[in-house]
Amino acid sequence: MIPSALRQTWIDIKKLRHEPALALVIAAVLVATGFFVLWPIAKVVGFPHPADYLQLFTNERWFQAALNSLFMTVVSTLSCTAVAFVFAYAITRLDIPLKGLFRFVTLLPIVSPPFIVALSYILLFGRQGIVSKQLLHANFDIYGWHGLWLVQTVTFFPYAYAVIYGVLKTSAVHLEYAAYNLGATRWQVFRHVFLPLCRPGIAGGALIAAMNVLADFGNPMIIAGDFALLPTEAYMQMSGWFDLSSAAVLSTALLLPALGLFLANRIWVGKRSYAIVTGKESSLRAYPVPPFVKWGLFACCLFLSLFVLAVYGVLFYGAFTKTWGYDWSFTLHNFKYVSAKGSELYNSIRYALFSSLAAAVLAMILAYLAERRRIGVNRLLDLLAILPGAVPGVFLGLGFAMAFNRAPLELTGTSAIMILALTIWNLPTCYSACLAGFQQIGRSLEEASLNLGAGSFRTFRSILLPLLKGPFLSGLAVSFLRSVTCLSVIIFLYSAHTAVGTVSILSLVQTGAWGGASAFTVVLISIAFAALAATRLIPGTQDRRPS
Amino acid sequence: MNEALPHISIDRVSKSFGAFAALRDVSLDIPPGSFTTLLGPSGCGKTTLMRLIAGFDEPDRGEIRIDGARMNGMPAYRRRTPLVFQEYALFPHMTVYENIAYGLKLLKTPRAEIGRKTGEMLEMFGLTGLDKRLPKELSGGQQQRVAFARALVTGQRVLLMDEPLSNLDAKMRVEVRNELRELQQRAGITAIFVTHDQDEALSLSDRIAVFDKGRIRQTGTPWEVYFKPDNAFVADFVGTANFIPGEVAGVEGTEIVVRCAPSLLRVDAGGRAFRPGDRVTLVVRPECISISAGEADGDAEEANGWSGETLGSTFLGRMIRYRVRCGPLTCIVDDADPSARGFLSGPVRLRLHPGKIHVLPEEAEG
Repeated sequence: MIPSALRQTWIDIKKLRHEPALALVIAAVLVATGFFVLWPIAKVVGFPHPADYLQLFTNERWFQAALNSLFMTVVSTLSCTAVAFVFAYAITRLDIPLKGLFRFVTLLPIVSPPFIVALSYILLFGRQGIVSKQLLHANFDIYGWHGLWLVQTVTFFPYAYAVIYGVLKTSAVHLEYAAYNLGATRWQVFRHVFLPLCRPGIAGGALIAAMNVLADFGNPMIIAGDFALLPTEAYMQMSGWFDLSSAAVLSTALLLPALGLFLANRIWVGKRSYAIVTGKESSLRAYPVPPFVKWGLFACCLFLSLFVLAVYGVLFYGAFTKTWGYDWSFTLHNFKYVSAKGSELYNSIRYALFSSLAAAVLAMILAYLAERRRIGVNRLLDLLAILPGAVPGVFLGLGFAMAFNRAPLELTGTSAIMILALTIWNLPTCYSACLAGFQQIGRSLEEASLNLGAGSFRTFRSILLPLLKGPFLSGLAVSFLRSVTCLSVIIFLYSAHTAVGTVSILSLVQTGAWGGASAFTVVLISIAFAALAATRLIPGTQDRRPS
Repeated sequence: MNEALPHISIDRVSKSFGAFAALRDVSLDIPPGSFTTLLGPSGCGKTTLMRLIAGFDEPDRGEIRIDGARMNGMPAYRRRTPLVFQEYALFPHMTVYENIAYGLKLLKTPRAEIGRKTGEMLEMFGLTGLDKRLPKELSGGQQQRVAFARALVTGQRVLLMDEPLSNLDAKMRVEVRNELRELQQRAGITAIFVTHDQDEALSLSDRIAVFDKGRIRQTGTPWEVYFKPDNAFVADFVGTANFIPGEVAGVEGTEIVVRCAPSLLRVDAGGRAFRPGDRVTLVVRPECISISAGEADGDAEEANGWSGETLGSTFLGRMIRYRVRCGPLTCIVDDADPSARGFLSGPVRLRLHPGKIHVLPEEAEG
């Protein structure tokens, strides 16, 4: 089996003799991607002495951090999945008002800086919180696992929602009608038909949420307090004691479960077809549910939506408030922080722009080679392109810091290392978008072009590229957003003159400058949304109409 | 059809996909200017062969030659074998004009000539005025005509077609069929047409190659394939046939006498040599049996006449198809002109003309 696969690989590779230019491109892409994806990972994993890894079990604080990370991942995943399911079910199946609002709420946290919910949570419920101090006159300690749990649920349920929604939207309503027709009650239909059909989708959503919660750095940094987690602990070791070895051990401990979740997602969920793919969405309306269920779910969605809106509202309020908790008068003073940190804002945009462009172009080439050409190394290219998606941001940042601090590539403290790290971090996002794009373009289109006399490059340029404009731009936009709001990857990489906006926000939060932090965040979100809106305006992303 | 050199020649070609043998040792010569149909059920290898000719895949063994030149290893974009795809494969981001002109542009045709040739195609296919539309703004029939125009505009001598009519409705399919045949003959191009539809194959082709499980089971004119099938598969796949097993009882000149279950039948041997005792299968088309009401006269049993009992009938408009039991056999018999007589029921008389019965020797494999 394996020898024959290898033989086939060799045959495919040999065929590339006829297309030397293509072979050159493949070799270059393979070497570059391999170098920037695998080398940093190997560097981190291989850095500590093997005996250092034992400390994970002997060092009580570290062991606790590992347990805490797992615990937080489990509880947050459960709550994220439940909330996501309620939203997805309400939006796809129920005839309720305010669906537009609910959709908006499931999108907001995805396009926001990662720690924004934690920041708002402090403004709402902290010692000077608007709810805790002004409304309830209470003083409770919000730092710790329960606060983090709530924050992680609000931050990451949209990721699970996106997957579950996709499945529910295409799930076959006519099968439910068939079950009703055979005499099943509503509950039986739900249990025997509906749930089994969308179970892979729910599992997929849960895994996505779990990966994000596990790897998250921003929220725990702000809200976890003494509740130590692996990513924050790794950062402490590095920033507090410059202890590379310990940071590497903790990051590797984080990498293992992350890889496990990633593999589970690829193998277990990826193999099942999500729903019955008929190619067209069913036009059947869902069978109505009893009113108390319907309005109960509506109330849940409404409550959560209001909470999410409060998160953003309070942030804007905070940005224009003099001293949070004491002096509620209006001011523009906070934006002075922003203008003082103009160079960091500039860095944010610059790095995000370059890295998302680089990631989108590289992803396009990778997706084309992996999906469209028989070149023997398709699986390898695919793996390289998606592997960074399994690596927690903190780990990736640490890897770049350790791998490129001496020859052959000494990049410590440069803009280049920031851009490179963000490029690799965004690669899987762009790659997935391009891959899906390629899979939607029938192979016969390419064959038709070849058949009419166009070579590979000409076909790629005049047929595939124009058709992939949409996925390319959406990958670009999402990458830009992710980069502007990224904290985990760059926390180990920035220097005095390459610091970015998110770093400034973190330091403002840590010094208790809530107003400044809010103002800065508001500016950052505005930039991100402006970028998102800009890509919508580029001609060609919409359907082309005859003039 | 006696040209010296075949235009396209397939020489002992085999192709496997993993463990699946899509083509096994297939040979076929296609004369210039002919219309050749590759006919067979799905998965028989007909599309695979077409893709090998176009260069999308390479044969594992054997050769494909076009105008005598070996094509193996030649990339698809240099073969000059325009193909009309089943789902048309029109470029969705290009207008009708751009789609048709694409091939000319690739050949570095001067601008003015591109305009002229594309205009000709638009007119020829009745697409004038639609040139600025996108494919999705066209009807299925219009899309299909664009696909043909795009394939023909470069003026190649070959045209490959992969079930191009299967996405049209039944009535349109018959119309396009006639236009297609006329077009091919006028332009004098060598056409290869893939289909699983026997009506299309019979009505369009100069020659039909019938495929089954990666092999060609018969190559011949439509008439030969229909009335003189080489084997039971071809007889069964093309049209409807009665298969009557029997044993040769005697040889009389060019005719043989075959012992079948209901009675002895006198049959034209079709130039083949048989000896008494040979097992044979008689193939009789339903329309080659004449049917009439009534029982056997009793005294003089008519030659090649069987008496039977109707089991059921299907009215198809231009004919009535009967199922008739004759002894242990059930025969399918068409009454080609039911207008005067109406439906028959009960006992009937069948007559099988010796010249309209086709004899197949016993086959090794089913």
